Amino acid sequence: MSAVAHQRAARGSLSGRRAAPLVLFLLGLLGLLAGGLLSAVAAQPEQPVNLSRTLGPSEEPAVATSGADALVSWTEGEQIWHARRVAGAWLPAAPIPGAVGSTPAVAAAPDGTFHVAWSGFSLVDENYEIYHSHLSGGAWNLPETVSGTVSDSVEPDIAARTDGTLLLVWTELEAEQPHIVAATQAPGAGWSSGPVPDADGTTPAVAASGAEWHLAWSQAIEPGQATEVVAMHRTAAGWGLPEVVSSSPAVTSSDASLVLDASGSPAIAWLEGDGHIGFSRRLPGGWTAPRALVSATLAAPGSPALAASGDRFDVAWAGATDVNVLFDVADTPSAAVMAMSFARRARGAAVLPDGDGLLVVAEGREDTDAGDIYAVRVPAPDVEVPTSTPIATSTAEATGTTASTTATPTPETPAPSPEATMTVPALPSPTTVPPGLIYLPITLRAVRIAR
Amino acid sequence: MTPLRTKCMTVLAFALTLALTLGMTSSAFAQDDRAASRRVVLSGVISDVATTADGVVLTLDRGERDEDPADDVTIQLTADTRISPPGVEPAVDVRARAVAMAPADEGGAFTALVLVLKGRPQPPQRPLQACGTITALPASGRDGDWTISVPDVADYTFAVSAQTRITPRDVEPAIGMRSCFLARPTDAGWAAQNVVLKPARDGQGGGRDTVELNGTVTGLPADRSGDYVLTIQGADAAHDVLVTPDTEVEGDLADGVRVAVRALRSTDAAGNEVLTAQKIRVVGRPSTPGRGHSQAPVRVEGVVTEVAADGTSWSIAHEGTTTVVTIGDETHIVGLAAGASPLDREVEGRALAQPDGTLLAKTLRVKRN
Repeated sequence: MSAVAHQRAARGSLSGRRAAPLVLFLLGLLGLLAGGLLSAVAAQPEQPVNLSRTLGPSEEPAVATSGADALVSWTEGEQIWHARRVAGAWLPAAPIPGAVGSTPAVAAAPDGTFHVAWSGFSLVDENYEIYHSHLSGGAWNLPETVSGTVSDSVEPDIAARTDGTLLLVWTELEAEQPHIVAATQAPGAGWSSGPVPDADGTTPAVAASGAEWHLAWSQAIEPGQATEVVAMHRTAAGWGLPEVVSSSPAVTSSDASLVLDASGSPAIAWLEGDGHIGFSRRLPGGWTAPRALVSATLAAPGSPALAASGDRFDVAWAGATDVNVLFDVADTPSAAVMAMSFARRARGAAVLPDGDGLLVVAEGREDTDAGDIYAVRVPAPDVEVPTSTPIATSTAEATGTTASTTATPTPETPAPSPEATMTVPALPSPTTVPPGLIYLPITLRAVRIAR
Repeated sequence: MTPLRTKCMTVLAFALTLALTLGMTSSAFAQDDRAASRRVVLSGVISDVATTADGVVLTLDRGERDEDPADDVTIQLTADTRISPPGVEPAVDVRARAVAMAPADEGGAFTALVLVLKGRPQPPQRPLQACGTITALPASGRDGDWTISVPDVADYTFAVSAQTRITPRDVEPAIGMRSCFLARPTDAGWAAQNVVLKPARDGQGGGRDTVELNGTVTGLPADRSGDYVLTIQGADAAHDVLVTPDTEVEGDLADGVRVAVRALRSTDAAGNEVLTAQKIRVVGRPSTPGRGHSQAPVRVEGVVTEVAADGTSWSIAHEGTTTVVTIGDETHIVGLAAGASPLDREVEGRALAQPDGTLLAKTLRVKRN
């Protein structure tokens, strides 16, 4: 991507659309009138960095951070690549030796070691297996075969517990019923693995805290029907019961992104088949009613990526050509921030807390390339959270292609009926609005008007 | 504010209201009014059906799977319980899955929202595979029930018999030894087909992991009786591999042939890494990469441009070439929702060349949008 393109991406794609300024201004004014009581500032993302810079298509990024260091891994062709950020600077990308496959997942152990898992085709057994490698002392070890099963093993996810134990989960494809298999590796020991009881599904996600670990996956309750997102956790006493998180029996719920808050309680964002992003968190009494974060009628979000910063949950997703972020989705969602924008395509967002903001990684494709992996740091909004104002309705598509909406029930209260309590998302405080920006609660996007 | 501006604002507000209402009511979410609840998935075999004043109460035996002990649960059916297939009554010995509200107090009954009846129980057809630490062995040492524990996942118990292939043959199983097994379901439980023992060597830890090497054979010794070492020259590095009588070799080894090797990694007494080959498979010669084995699956990737009306074939376009793959009963398709079309989606996977020249898809993964 050229430097010019970088600048365009950082500014947001609306800068070239000259027909809308007056309408946008009016809509913004309307939003200010309607919202009134709220305040938040969507901070501007920093400049995206092209991590891959390769000729082939780079895709399926995953990211992990360890302190100020970060590691991003992705697929190019059948090779797994990586790029490291050390002391704030990204090092040149390089393939992981012997890592052939796709869908990498990344985790950082408490000692700072980065671990990568992926699914690759075994020429020995002629099926897909799960492999693992780790970066230690600046060198990657020889990839280990973790699954070693007779059927195809795909869709890995990996997490590290605070004691250094690695948890690796994947989908085992068997004719009768796909199911979730889990592998664990204590520090210095070998991998152990086996099927997770009652986890008949696909697309697992794993998160760990202390001695506990949490698992989410997609499962069709009735054969051949739409999948729901199901979650389960394991304590020293054993497995809990699988709990249904989503609530849309007629529409596929999939691609769960699972994180834990500061107290170790899980939250999940997922993709609804009709294009909504769903969100729920686990409270002592159970999972909160799902809330729709992004309306399919106004945007076409890809699989969401969820991040937990203490008790704040942020979600990122790739739309057709943009990568967007919503902060604090459990409480008072911010205006959506466009983290990156590309000419041809945006896909596969990944996100993690990074200092006081987020590190957002995604695949972006410009007119002249096959697709690269970009990273950008998005500062958290300066949220001053007074009260949300429930109103009957709040948003609409203002620009035809770039708007998105949120449905934001009052935090941790009974979920509203759709018509009852939509809240206007936070508006910027007049004292903190940067010059040249008009915040549109209606479009939930910080728009820089071309001057 | 002028009358014109007021009218404009009114129209805009109305338009926004209408658009939002239309947009949000299209949400698929069932916007129920609970703040937090526990809807759980319960699977098992119905062991009892009782009719009470409150309706039908089922007892579900969740312990049919040997991976983990589980207690029976009681499930209350109500007038609101949706039973699938409609019209079928729950009965003892029928396999069932329920989505149920968890009871407020421990020991209470679950309340079924959905009950899916799946027919009379059959032994699961899929094999059971696990790798872990041996925690129980029969008194005889080999034949009988073994238990392997996977920390933080589950314990697995299976039967070993004279028909079970145990490797290495010269190693005796012991409590605490790491091991992997493949078991098949029988009416009596899981019967082990293969067991691989992974003893720690010379006090070195139990971290004997499996690695896979792909490369070209060099330095193949003329005398290959007993243990010997061959070198695999890969794309990144060369690795020496120890071949033992327990190593399964598929194909004719020779210098220059391309092989795929699955090996156990361990360390010797001096701390040096040792790779012991479990299986070596000849996959081709350097002059014909990837084509040395007639049945070697080929990689397919690209965008699905056409799907046969009956769904039995997909056309996949990539870099100006279109490949047609047959979708068979054994084809695994990953990442595609039930009933969804793969058209215009990016896919990648493996397919097997058939004698008639067609490609039968083995596994196709539909990439996320």
